[in-house]
Amino acid sequence: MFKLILLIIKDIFSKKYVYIFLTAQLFIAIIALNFSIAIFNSVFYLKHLVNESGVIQGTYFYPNIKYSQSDGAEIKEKLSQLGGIGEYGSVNELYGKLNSDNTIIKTLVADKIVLNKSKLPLVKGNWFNTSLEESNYIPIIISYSLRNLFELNTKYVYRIFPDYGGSDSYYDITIKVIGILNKNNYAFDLSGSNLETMIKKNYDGIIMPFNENIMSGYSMKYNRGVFIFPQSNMSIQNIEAKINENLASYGESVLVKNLLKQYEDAKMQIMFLTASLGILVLIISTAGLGGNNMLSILANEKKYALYYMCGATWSKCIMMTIIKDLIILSIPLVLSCGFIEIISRFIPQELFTTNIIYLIMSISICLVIFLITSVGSILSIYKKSPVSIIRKWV
Amino acid sequence: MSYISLEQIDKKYNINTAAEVHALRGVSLEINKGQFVSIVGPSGSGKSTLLHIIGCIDTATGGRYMIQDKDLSQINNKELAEIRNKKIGFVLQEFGLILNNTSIDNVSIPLMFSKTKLKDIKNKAYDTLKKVGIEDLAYKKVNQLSGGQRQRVAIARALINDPQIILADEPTGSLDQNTSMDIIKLLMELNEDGRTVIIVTHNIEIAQMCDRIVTIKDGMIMGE
Ligand SMILES: Nc1ncnc2c1ncn2[C@@H]1O[C@H](COP(=O)(O)OP(=O)(O)OP(=O)(O)O)[C@@H](O)[C@H]1O
Ligand SMILES: [Mg+2]
Repeated sequence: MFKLILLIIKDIFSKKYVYIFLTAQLFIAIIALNFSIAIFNSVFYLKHLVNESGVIQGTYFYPNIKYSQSDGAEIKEKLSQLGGIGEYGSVNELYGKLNSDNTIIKTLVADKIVLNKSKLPLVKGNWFNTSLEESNYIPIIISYSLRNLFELNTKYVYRIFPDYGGSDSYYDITIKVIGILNKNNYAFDLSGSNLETMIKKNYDGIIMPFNENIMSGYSMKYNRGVFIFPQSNMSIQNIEAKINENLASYGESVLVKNLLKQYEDAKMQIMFLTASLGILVLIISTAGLGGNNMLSILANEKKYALYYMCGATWSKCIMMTIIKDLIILSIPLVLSCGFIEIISRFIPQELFTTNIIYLIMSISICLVIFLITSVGSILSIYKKSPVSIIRKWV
Repeated sequence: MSYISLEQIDKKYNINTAAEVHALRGVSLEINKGQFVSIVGPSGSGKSTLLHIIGCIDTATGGRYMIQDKDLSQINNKELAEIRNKKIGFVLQEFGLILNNTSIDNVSIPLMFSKTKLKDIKNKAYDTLKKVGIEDLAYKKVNQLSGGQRQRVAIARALINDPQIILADEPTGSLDQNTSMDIIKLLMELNEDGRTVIIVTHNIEIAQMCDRIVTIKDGMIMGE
């Protein structure tokens, strides 16, 4: 057996360029597959997340300039007079930083009502708990990108700039990290005035609840927008229409459902482009992989007929082909796992996301292609009689 | 009883199809140990087919084939493989070598499928190359060798497990006159060592150098 493996390895070395090429193809195919799966998945996953969350049942009220700088008391007053509205909660976006580090961190501040309805998956820790009413610190969730800056379950002094870029005023508050978001995620980006781009993939920043006890004294203008939810017997479309009718001078309201739709429309084109590119590379690489694998196996039939003539049974020759196939296969598998692991650390996650499931899927698809073409060509050799190969050849 | 005995050997290709070919029709042949036999006949008469059956790389569709009283129609693939490995050395038409590999690697192949220890393979292959006079070409790739040198590599490979039977299908087919004679002399030396040698040839001069000439036509033995 050891001798046979040696013979196989010698075989591989004698045609090393063919096998290097094949290995490279397999490798590219795995990367391309991972890439395509990741792109598709990220769009669908984001949709799924928003759809699953409670915010999809709401409408978003976007105050105009005048009111977005206020504490929102007037808007709230108006809303409570409308009727049919169940709950509502404000959201705002601020900037802050740690004392120990100069990184300016985007900070999403939201009322607990909103946070409770938009529970996001975490890699570690827990989502905000309704009963989590602390008076001396604010629990926060950090994005995956900030995982090296913060430690879970640790308290920090956090300096927030309610009017970053406008004035230098700041407040120091104590925060405690209670969770880390999944790598692949979304959040509402409130910094722009463009509602179409409000839903953002792969949020990079902090999410924190608005805490009356700690923050109300800081004249916090957190009223950048309001998520409004209907009473259980009311339709959200009606509420939206009503708001747009009665609060027109304060701002405009858009259904979260439509925000998602706008997001999709805005992203789909670029997603489609990237995905088609990925799929193109994928098709070329997998077709090439299958074809070359087949050719390289078939090119060996002479050799195996010779082995047969020199004293191997035909089934032993076929077994050698299979072992050789597995050896060729294992190299790019190990390589691509390593490579994907490394590049996923250096390439921004908007460009390349991976996880063990994508990798397993990509590898499985490549395996299937490789094995189908292998089995096909090995069977076609097996069915021939060695003497007919010898005859054709000499 | 002869060393090699063929009784009413029949070989059909593509049985029960429109393309059925009756390549051998009731061939009976007895060959004694240590004989040097040549098989001659027109193209398509079944010479190669006969040699392939004797060499156990093909099987007959009828009749009985025995080596040393052992009926080869009764044994399994594994035993047949062992016979190909140990008892028979086959020299293919056009050499049948892996061109991209060195001479020594080509010659070593039968040892890979025998019980030879890994560490002995190189020495044994080298010694065999020496026997056919091309030990200095051991580490050259076959595609850099001349026709006569390639044929010596092919003969060395056939010899390496010290088989008692050497079969060669047109061993001089593509060689010039001088080289052909060298190769035949080499085969005769092997025959003088006591091996049974059977060759297929078109060359009458070479055939006449053998102990026996078997003429075959339309799959039947026409005479000696
Ligand atoms: N695999 C095959 N399928 C069908 N017919 C075959 C096959 N192999 C050989 N034949 C036929 O069997 C007959 C004998 O062929 P064989 O090769 O034994 O002849 P040969 O005497 O060696 O001829 P040559 O001198 O040209 O080498 C021929 O008619 C050939 O066409
Ligand atoms: Mg022939």
